[in-house]
Amino acid sequence: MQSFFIYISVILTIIILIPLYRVYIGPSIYDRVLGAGSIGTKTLVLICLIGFAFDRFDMFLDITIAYAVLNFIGVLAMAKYLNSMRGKNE
Amino acid sequence: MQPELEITLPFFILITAWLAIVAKNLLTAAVALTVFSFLMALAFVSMGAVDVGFTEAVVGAGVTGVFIIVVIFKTARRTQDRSDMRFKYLKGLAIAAFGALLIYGSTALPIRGDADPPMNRPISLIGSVNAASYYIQNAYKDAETPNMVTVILADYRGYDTLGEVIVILAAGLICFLLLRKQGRQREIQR
Amino acid sequence: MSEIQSIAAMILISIGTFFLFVGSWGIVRLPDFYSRTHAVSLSDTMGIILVLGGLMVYEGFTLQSAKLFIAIVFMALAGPTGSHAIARAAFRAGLKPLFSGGRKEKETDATGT
Repeated sequence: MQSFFIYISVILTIIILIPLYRVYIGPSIYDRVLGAGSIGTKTLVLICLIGFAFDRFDMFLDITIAYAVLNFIGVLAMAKYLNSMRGKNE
Repeated sequence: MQPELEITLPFFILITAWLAIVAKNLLTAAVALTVFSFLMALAFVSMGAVDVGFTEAVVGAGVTGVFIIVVIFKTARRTQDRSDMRFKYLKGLAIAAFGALLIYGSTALPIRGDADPPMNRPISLIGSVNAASYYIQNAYKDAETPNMVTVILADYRGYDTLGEVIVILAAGLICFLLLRKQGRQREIQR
Repeated sequence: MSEIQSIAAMILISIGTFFLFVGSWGIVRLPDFYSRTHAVSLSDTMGIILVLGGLMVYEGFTLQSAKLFIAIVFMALAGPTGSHAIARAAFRAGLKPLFSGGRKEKETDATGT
């Protein structure tokens, strides 16, 4: 079961490459923020799975929840800032 | 870190770092830097340094990304690379020599997870008493907190952390006062 | 009992990883910013719920699984909210949605890129 968690972690790490491509080519800033949020989501799942693979899940779980809150706040702050900047930098 | 992740994760970290350097559009570079911080925090966590990874996630991915985007919106949007081409090969040689020096120095570091590295022995190589062995032996007795790094940061170095907090508070207050005064001057000019 | 738990957890985690893959693939494949928002908010949230639910099944009734449940509830609320915030910012900045018959988007949003 531990090796199953490790394999899933490696698969998720490879999946991260796909939104990274959108971060690279994305035509607008919104696409890039969206891709960064998606990468943060997958990182959260990865931290959870690594905690199970190390068998020290009690420690990693608090990190997971805090990480989820941080990811959410980062995306919201960027969206709020982009929303407040409309019409000002023309 | 598990060997499979040890192969794949630095690969992605290198890709995002390269992306943040190469990108002409500065917003791309800012978002790539955010992704870099997320992956770096993941690497720290997977090596077992949970608090370092948490700090990296807070500072690198949360605060710095928003700050850099605010600065980019206040200033120019694209880079203007005006690097002078003089001494090009000399600069390259200096950078390569520095990298080789760092790699040579890193070979002497102890293996990760080594239980008995030279700096944790009670007596160091030149015969003096090591502080690290005192922390290892007495951290739990002194503070009764299970995490040794937390004990060193919050108990043994408590006044140090308090000084850091005062410095950061002073810097934030000065930034606030300076920016506020500038805004009022601009209103007067209008 | 433990074997059934392990197998159910494996199945749930595999399906969740598949949903995460679909969400990522949708980010690259879909033609328009708003449809990409759709891919992120729905598929990624579903994938996270399934993976963390699988870990919950594997853990059993403990304090950790209760914390996992809190994480699931938070992610189910936070993922669509974040996507909605970005989509609202983009719409207010004047990024046009792609209607049927339109070509692929160019760099025409108001704030530029």
